[in-house]
Amino acid sequence: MRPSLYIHIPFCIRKCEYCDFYSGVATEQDIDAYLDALEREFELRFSDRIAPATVFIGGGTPTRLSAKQLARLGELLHARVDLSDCREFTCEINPGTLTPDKADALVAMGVDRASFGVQSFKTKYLGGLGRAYEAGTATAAVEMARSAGIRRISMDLIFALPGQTLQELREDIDQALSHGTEHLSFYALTYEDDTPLTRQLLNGELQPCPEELEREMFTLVGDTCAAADLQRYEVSNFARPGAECRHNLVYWTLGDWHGLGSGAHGMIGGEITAVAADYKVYTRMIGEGTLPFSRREKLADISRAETLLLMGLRLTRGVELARFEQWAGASFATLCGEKASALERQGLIEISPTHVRATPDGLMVLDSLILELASSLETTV
Amino acid sequence: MQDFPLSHIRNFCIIAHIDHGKSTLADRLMSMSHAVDKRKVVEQTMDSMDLERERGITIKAKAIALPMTINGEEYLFNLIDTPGHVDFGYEVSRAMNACEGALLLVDATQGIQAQTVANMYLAIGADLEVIPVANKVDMVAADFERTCYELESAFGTEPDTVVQVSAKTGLGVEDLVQAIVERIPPPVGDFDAPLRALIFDAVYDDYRGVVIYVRVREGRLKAGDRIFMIGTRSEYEVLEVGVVRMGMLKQPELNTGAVGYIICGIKTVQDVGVGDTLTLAKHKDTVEALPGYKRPQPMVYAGVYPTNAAEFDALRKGLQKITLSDSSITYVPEQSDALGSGFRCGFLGLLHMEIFQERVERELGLDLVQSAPNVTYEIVKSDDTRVRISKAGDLPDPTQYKEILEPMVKLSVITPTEFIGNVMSLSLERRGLFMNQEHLGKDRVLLSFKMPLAEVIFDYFDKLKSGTRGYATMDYEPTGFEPADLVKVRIMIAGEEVDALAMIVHRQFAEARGRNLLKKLKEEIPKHLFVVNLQAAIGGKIIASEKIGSMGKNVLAKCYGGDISRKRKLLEKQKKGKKRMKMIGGVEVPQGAFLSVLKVENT
Repeated sequence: MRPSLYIHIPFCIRKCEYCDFYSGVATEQDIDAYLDALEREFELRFSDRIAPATVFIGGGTPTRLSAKQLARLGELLHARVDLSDCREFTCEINPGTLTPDKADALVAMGVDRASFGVQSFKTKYLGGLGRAYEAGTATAAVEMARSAGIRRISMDLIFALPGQTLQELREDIDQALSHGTEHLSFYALTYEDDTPLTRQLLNGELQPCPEELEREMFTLVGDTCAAADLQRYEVSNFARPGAECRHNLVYWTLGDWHGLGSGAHGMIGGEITAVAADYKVYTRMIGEGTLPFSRREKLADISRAETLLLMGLRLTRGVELARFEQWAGASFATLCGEKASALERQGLIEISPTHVRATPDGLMVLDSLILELASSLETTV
Repeated sequence: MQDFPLSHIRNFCIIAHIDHGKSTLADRLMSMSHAVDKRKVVEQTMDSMDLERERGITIKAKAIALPMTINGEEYLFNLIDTPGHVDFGYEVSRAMNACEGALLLVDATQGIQAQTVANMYLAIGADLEVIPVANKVDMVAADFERTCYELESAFGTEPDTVVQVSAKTGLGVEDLVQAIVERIPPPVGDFDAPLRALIFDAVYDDYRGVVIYVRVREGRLKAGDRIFMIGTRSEYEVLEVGVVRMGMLKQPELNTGAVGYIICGIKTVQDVGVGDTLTLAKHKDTVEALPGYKRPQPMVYAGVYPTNAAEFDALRKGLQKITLSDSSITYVPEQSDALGSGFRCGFLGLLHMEIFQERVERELGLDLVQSAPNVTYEIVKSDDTRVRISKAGDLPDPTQYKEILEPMVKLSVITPTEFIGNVMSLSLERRGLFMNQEHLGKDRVLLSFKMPLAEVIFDYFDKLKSGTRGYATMDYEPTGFEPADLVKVRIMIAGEEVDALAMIVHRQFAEARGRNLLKKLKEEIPKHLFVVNLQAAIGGKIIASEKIGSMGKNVLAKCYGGDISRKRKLLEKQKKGKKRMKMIGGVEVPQGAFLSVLKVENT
């Protein structure tokens, strides 16, 4: 399959309390220079136009760019990228930053799927998360994108917020579903190192969601979405059948994709690339004609197989055993059989002739489960 | 040094509680000896180990010869130093057997303490003439009347026999010297009888090998003599004899009544039995040994492990070195599931164990992990043979033995009267049997109990201190083994027995202590993908259990293309961490879990 394309826009209006992504509050000149550099990166990396299977523009906040800057981004993409055969073109949208002009610019760019970072429909939680908009803003933004012609709508929401009740979560889910979205991402709040939120946690300024409640919420989200015909297809992602995010499926099946822009990661044929995360360094080095890779790592086949487990078990359909075997050089049963059988007996995984997958209980403790399998892989290889 | 007639020799020791001024008094007496260069009496000569000085205790008894001019006549005082704690009770009693008298030194600002009492009993047992001495009488806080009253209450001492001194200023020390001459009897014995000398101590010297301290009871001893140690059945040639003053002073001969040292090329103190009798090789079949010799038996055992497993060899060499100078420590290699390779060490008591640990860390620079101590038990097998075991794991199935005995002690506690209730209830809770109560003046009391040593070493001292706001002092002396209803509590993790965690406890405490251990374990073992059962059992019967619930939720909410590198790095780290875990019954147990369960509780 043709590699996909990820483009990173590392700018935000402000930094969210839970975010550990590299993003900065930049001037308009910074952004213009960044777009120049992005165009140059395409030239430096690809001699010809590329024809990605899917495109995803993420951030930061891509819609932090002005309508004009978005139009500029669209132009440079059209110059370097053949979108005629692109099956999905997603752009992340911060509801508070969308305007009709920007929505038009996105459509002109080729965006056919919008992923809204709603996080919560409740103002009291938005403030705590540092999201710079009011609760009603999300609804308005979704309508704005729709009327501009973006058909496919996804929303990101966060649950297990400090103090959040099951009832409040239920209301958030209902509200998200009421927009007729085909896709939802529901993330349990994660306390990343070196974020203001985590500092509050460590200082005892906030009470984290109790584990038992978080489990209930995880189940509630799955059940409620399923009742509205949005099936869990990944740990945190729900979609109508056929409306799964194709781009993200590339990641979870360890397909190929190019990552451009500062901080972007890519993987082609098992080689991981990462571009320098500091956009100033990125812009300067590109200006000097140098590709600012901060990392290029070719995964050994066995590591690639392990990484496939790491990513692929997040999908409810699981990991394709044939794909695993192709990289691992031996069957899953040979390499992880004993441990896998134990986990299967515990009801945490299921093994079919073609796939290994985590059960709903298994998904909830997936990281430990992956560690078990990866450790047994290590001892047998 | 000139020969002194027996009538002008006085052999005595000083009995005192820590900090009651024993070393200061010894210094004061030395400074009065005309043979000692006063400028050199800066250091407290008697305590030669740094550690002893720091802790204010003396581990190894030594002797110092002090020529004195008293009433215009020349006397020789042999001051024999004794360890201050009855952990070393046997050694104390041997040192006392080298004396005719003892100074019972009591700090008049503090009154008598439990340790004073225990040592006093030993002195009485050794038939010594005891001179009670109230020290620090120059201080404002001193209460001489009260001290006399306490001495009278505790030992029936006549108040007018108590000598008042200030070892620090020298006040009253002249009177004390007079009292020593007048009240302590001179040694008796026959110069011409076959040699019988009591070995009352042996210390290791880096340059000279083992220096043996002796008290000549009868006959005489000189360099070149072939000697025979009756207890250990070994023969040596004496290379040197002498007395200790500011250093070792070689002498032509040690005569009846003398206290001094001999060197005969022995490499380790293990080869010398304290309490043994020396005679000349030619008399070995005819001379009868002096009474009371025995090899001290360890009372308390603990597993000792290097914190860093690579230091096992260094620890082994260190133990060899330490036992050169302390023959009462025993050690055998031990392999623990939980702690790796180490040694099971035997000690005379708790204090001895603490001193050992500090010596290892200080002299060898090793960091140690030490398991909670346990006592030694005696098993009577079905064929009536007796064996001693030093750890719970060695206790056979109850069908394999008839009876199990545990070491008992006589415990003396001195406490302000307001805490009598606390001390009583604590002691009775710990299976103590109340024996006696003696009032020491109006506000302090001496309580005696018979108690299993196991209970004393468990946490009695900490509890005693907290129950008496730190005022109580305690001491104990072993009184032998007695049968008890003891059981082995087995600990199981996910059904697999963990030998290192087994313990022997009285049946009445089995459940509580088993539960307590499981609780600690539960805190230390992380959640697994499955429920982990922790159980304590006596034989096949479960007496306590805990469950570690399975992991509730552990999954990254977000994991996209950009997260792969980070997630892989994390996975590598987790895999390494997993390898460091100890697998028991399919459960990953962190090393730290064993430590927190096995280590000696911080006080």
